[in-house]
Amino acid sequence: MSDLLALGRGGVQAYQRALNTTSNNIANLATEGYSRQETVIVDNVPKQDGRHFLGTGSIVDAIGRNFDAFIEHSLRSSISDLETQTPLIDYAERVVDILGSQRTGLTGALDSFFSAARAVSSDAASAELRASFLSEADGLAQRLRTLGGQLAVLNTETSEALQTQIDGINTLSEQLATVNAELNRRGLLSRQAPRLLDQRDSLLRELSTVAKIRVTEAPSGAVDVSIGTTNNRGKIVEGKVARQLDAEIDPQTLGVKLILDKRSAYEVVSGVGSGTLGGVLAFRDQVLDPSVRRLDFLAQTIETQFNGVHRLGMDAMGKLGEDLFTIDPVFTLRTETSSADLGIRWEVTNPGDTKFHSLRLQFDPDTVQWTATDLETGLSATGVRDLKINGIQIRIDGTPAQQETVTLEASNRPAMGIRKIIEDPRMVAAAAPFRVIEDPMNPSGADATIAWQPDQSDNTLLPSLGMVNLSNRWQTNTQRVDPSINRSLAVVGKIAAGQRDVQLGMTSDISDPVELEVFTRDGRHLAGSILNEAERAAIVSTANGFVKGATYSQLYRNAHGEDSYLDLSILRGARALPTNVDKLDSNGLVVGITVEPAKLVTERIPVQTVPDSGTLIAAAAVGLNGNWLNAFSPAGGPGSTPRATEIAAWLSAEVSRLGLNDKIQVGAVNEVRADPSALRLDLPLSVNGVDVVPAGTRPSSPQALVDMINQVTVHTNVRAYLGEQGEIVLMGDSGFEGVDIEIGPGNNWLTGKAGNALDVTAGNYAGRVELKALDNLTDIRLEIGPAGDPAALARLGLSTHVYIDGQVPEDLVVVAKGSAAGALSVAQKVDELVPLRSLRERQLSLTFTTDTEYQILDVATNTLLAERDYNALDGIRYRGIQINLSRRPEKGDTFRIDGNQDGVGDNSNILRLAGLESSRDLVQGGFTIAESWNGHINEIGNLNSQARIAQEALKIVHDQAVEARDRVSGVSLDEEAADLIRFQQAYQASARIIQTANTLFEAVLQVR
Amino acid sequence: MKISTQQFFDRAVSQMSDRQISLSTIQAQLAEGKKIVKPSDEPDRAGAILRIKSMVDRQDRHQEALVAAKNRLQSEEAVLKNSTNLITRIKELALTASNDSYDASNREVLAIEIDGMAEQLLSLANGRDTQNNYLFAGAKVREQPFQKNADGRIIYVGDETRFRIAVGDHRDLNLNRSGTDVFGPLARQTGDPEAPVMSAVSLFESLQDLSAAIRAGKHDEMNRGIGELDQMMHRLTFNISEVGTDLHVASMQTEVVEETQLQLKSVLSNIEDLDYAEAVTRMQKQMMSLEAAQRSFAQISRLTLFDYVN
Repeated sequence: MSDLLALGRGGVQAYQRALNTTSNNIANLATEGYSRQETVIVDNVPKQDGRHFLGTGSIVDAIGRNFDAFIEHSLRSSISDLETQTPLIDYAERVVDILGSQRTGLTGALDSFFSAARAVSSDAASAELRASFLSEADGLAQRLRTLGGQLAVLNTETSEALQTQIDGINTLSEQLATVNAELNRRGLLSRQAPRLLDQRDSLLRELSTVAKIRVTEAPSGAVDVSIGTTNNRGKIVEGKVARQLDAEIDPQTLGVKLILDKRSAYEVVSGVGSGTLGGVLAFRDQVLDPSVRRLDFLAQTIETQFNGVHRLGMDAMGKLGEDLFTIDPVFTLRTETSSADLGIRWEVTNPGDTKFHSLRLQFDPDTVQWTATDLETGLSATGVRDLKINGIQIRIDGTPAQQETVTLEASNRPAMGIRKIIEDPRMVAAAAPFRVIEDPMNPSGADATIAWQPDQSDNTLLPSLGMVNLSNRWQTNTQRVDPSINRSLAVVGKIAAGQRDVQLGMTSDISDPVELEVFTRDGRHLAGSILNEAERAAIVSTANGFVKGATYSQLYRNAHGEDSYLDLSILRGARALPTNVDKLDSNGLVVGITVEPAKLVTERIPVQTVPDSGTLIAAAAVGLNGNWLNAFSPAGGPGSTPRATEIAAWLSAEVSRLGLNDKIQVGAVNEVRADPSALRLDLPLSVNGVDVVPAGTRPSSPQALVDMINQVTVHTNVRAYLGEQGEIVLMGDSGFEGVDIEIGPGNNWLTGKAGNALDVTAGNYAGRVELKALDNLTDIRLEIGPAGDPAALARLGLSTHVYIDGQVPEDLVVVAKGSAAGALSVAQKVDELVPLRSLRERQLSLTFTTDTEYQILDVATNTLLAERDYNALDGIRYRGIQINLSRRPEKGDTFRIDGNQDGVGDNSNILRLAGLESSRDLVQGGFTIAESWNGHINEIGNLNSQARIAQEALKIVHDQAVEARDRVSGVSLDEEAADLIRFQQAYQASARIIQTANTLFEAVLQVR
Repeated sequence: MKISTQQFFDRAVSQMSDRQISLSTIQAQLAEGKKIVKPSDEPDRAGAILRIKSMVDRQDRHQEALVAAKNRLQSEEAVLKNSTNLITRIKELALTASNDSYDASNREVLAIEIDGMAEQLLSLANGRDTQNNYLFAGAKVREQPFQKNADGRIIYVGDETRFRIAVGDHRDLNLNRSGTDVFGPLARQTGDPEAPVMSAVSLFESLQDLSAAIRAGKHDEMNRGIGELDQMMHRLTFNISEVGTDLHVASMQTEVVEETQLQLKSVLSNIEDLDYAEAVTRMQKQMMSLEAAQRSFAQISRLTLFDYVN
């Protein structure tokens, strides 16, 4: 009976709580993230009564949460996927709007530029059209910079958005960690407060919007959350610990790295592909970065290609075109000390000097000066407020802190640095750099067209002589040359056009010398010996570096003065020039320059016999300073062997004869030097057959030996002295300066060592001839004359060199001829020659000598540059100039070629520039510039469309997930209303039970 | 299965706002008259639109070039035609002069007239176009092509460069003739008829010789001069026909460009422009849809169990 009361009471309590819960649900109808709570009423433990069980009523077991973990998981997943699309769509739309608009996009600017170019082509002389063209070029550069700038803004924006989202993640992580701590205190999921769990799920959902998360639930309900690819990597929440997420953005590549625990564990998180974070990353990766790179690439292509065409044209002032655009480095400011008070501005003043090097600006408080240092080259500049370095001017305003350091990081961003630099409309290079004028009287009436088409392969065939180290202006090097390998002819190399003051020295056996032959690439023989037909045919061929069709000509072989090739001064012989010697003071510092007079010393005169004719050197075989010398017929007649003194005497006589006495002095000299440390004072010595050391004696010192030698000077005509380093020098006595010195005795064949006191090889040391200039201006030139050859100079003890003074106007081919090896040394001043520029300064004349043969003549010097056969397929090619004729030429046809300096109405080059619009060679894949850009915009557009479609589909999925969750956890007013009625009735019924129990009890109490 | 109250409201509201967004898009389209107001409206077509607009632009430029070309060619044509008139007149005078009955003073009059016309021919040869460029100087368009040198002879100082301009995507037009082409030297045969010697004589020199011959009454030389006038005429006529052909090409090309422009513009319009009828119909549909959603929401949202429980 009493149980009835308990039953009733239990029921009342239970339903009271149920009503409470229902009201709670109604009150929380609109609460975000609220899960519907349900009172779980279970029956009480039944009581056993005999053979049956009596129920004991009900009891509230728990206030449960309507919650489905799986649906929740789906919901989070769908949120992440959906949210990914939003930033992708939004930002991509902005990019499409920026890049794809006709008014503000690149295509419009390109169209205007090319239109302006075509307008100039219709009237190339018009100043207004040229000015319009320049302003459209400026417009193009500006448009590129604007677009680059807008993309840069997007970069900054998305970087900031990334940072904001990461901050959001960090905040949520911390909150979740707190919730986890709370949850862990209780320990069992079923005992946790629903509100806490709701909070936890709410946080998880919020996290999902930012990135896709993987959740691992502990038995207590606490969760570990990771944003990486697996549950264990990239954990941002681990129980009570929230780990800090950071982003590192590479300024050059725009790449983003996500780092956990930057300051300790430094774990890189990869695989974040969903949520708004993933969306922004995807945008940067798939849209922003490719757009930036494509724009930069186009800007660079435009600068390179447009400049390339422009430089090949001629402007209205007759000069070759210059660069139309340039790309300045882009500087970003980075301060190490935060001094907000500084204002730093920079401007490019010399586009040609700019470098993509970062600069460091440092303030020195002692000198109150700023120093700018180029971080790559070390070059520096100082100034108080204004600094000039690397072609830019920097101005710094404001008060710097102590030791303020600022870095200007340079980066190469073509789209942001491109600039038009030509200001003067006259400098627009609209015309072609060459012009061909047909003579009106030409029999064939053929029209000629001319184009500049240098062929790069022309230059690579031959090695360039002497060009080893470009930092030295004077180049000298030596190489071994052996023509005997190939039928006594060997092509050694080429002298590149532009070199100055070239000296080719060939040192070889004087009795069998190697000769140098110098040619132009069109087969004109400029210097060297006579060649027979076979030799000519062997040399002049394309395999040897000659142009196709070149023919041999010796018209200019060894020519002088006006008859020479293009008035080039080529000397074949031996030469000495006055030399500049640095004057040093006592400290070794250069204080001035003295000029030493020229001095030419021959080799030791070889042993040579005068032939039967009695003449050793023919008349006019050798020339001295431009005058041919008479024959040298030694007094000894045929069979004699003239020595240095005799030769010197002959030369001296010639010098007098030519009236050069006051300029040149000829003498004979001879010297034999003995190394002081090698002296063998115990050995005998004979000089010129005379024993110097008396028998039985030996010199006690080098000085004593010298004295002994000088004792017999009377007989030997040789005297000696001790040099500065203690060496013994033997020379001819005065009056016998060039006399031969014979040293003996010879080698000890037993020991192999020299057998004389001086320890020099025994034998005859022939004298040399010395020619000295008497003033500082005269040079000494011994050259091979018309009746001579290198052998003639060899008889004088001289090797034959080739000297080319001035600048070499075109490539020259050097051939060595001989039957033995020799050493070639090349010295030159390295200089450059721009073929286009130098050719334009000449006037050429093209004449057909027969119907099929033509000549090319340099009009100014009347030099025949080429004689070739005409081939209609190849046309006429000369050093990069290509001329084609409209019909077959005839004998007598003449054409004039010049640099088109006054052809201001010519529009060929501006047409070529306009033609770049449809050129498919500028961008990979065979697209034009505009097509390539449009293609890129299409790609972004497609990406955008796809994202939109994905978004629509994902929205549906998300909606369904929301509905599913809602079905489980949502509050429906109607349902709650019904529950209210239910529980109210149950409550009333339970109350009735109590009343019934009471009534029953009363009844029991009534029993007396 | 149930739907929470929250969800019910949320869903209804989101659907209504979707309708409103559609309506505002349509409104913008109607206002602009274009389907694509900004490139991001149909991003996958943005590239195509740019390309077509670019092509339209290029056709406009071709038209401008054609106008410039036609102006130039017409200037040349005018000069050439005037020159032929002059030559015709000179020939008439020369034929009259070779009439035996004319005496010295009559011939003097004729010679003077011929000299005057030769001067006129010189000034025609040095003619300029509307941009002040000399017409027959080759590429040296700022320098008078036919000048008197120290000896009093007329020499040609221009060059032979021919230039072309682009008047279509794959079409260009030759724009000029050099002074040599039009007023160049003539062939003169001298010496023994059995072994003739051909030489070249400048056009103006030929005219000078003619007037001198008329003054002197030398009939051989007058006949020779008349022959040379025929040469001149022949050459001028040849050039006129060349210019005529070029003008014809230019006008045909104009038509081609116009047609291309028309085609491109219609393609562009198909992509970009709004079909008003379709747009208005769509708008009506959306409006009806919005109205229905709003009304139904108003009705349904009022239903709640609490009204019936008290």
